[in-house]
Amino acid sequence: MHVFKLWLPTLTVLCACAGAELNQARATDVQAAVLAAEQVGANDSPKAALHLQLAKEQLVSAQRLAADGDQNNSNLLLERAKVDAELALQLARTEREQASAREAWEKIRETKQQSAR
Amino acid sequence: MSNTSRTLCISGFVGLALMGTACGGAAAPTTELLTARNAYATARNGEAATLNPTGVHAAAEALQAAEAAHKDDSGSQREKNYAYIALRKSELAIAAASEALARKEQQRAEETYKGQLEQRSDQATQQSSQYAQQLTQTQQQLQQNTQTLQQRQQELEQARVAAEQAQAELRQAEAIREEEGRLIISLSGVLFEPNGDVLSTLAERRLDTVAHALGAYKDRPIVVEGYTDAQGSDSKNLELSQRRANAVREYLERRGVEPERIRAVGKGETNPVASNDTAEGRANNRRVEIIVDRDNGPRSSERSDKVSENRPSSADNSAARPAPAPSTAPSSQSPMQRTSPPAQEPASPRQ
Repeated sequence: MHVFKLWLPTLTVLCACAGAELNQARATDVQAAVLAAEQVGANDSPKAALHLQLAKEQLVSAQRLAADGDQNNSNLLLERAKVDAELALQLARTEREQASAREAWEKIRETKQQSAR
Repeated sequence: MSNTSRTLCISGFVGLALMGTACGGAAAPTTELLTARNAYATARNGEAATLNPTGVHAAAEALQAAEAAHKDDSGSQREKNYAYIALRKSELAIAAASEALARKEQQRAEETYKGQLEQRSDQATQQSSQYAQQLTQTQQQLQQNTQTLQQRQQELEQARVAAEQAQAELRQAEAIREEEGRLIISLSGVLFEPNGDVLSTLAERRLDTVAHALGAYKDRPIVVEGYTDAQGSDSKNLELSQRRANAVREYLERRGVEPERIRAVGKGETNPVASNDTAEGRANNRRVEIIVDRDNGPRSSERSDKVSENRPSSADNSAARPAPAPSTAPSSQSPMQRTSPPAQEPASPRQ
């Protein structure tokens, strides 16, 4: 979250200075997905954190490609960044649900043990 | 067209594209495309197909784009990029399916837990009801016990009062003393016709009072002991005393004393309480003693047996007979006032 807060203004400054034509709509989608993933705790899960990092790196790369005038590959990287951010979000949610399910069954097991005493 | 149908169509297209590529001898797919294909196969053949068909469909579309890129420009960066996206879409579909599965598990766990709690609650309610029932029963039992105890205490108190009254009546009417917890009522004077065992009217009246008093000593054994004076033979006296004791026993039974707790013993001329040398002494020796035994102490029969055992045999009767009573024998002393039996039998000549 803190990292995102730092690199987001940096990216904006880069875009402004270069005057590149980064696909802003796609970039915004990626940023929103990254933010959502961070909010559900993607940084706490190794797998989710990996894809979150990939998304961020690809977003920066897409910006550089746009600045170099390679719009096509920039857009492709934005798509990759977006799908990585979405996967990070999904993995974080999945792990959270799986942890909740485990806790629920653990509670049942403890209750059974208490009843058996 | 539903997502599933569309996914199947796309899958068919992807399959045909793969076959075409193989037959046409096109360049081999990139590692990224191969990985994307495998991931898509996993998604399509796994739980994601049923739990997340939309996600699988999105993965199929992405793979279709990758296959198209492979067909158009095999080994290009574009192919790799689309393959990468297809791979992530498949992973996304699988992860979303896993989330749905986890949510179902959690729901199932919560329902199980709820059932568990309801079951425990039911058990607790049932147990509580049982405890309440047991408590009520215990309280009722306690109340009954308290009532029984109070009733018993009242009965005991009544019995105590009755015993005191009975003793008071007896003290007024007859000689009464206590020895080692036994109550001894001594009736002397004219009780029977001479040499007979028929009770006089006066004796019956006296026995009425005694019978009434004995009612206060329920459950305590009673022994009626008959005594004569020393006139006549031992055997006749023994037989007469037995008949007289029997007469008293039968009368008491008729007056309500339980037969199973009363017995009669003839003692003859033994244990005189006064000198047999005087008419007054002999009158006192002709008596009936009614012994109310202790609840659980030694029976009066033991006393009787001891007396019987202590009797000398006929061979050495004269030698074993105790010394004669002093001339100052308490002939004037009323047996009603004595608290211990005489220790010695007077040796007056038999008449």
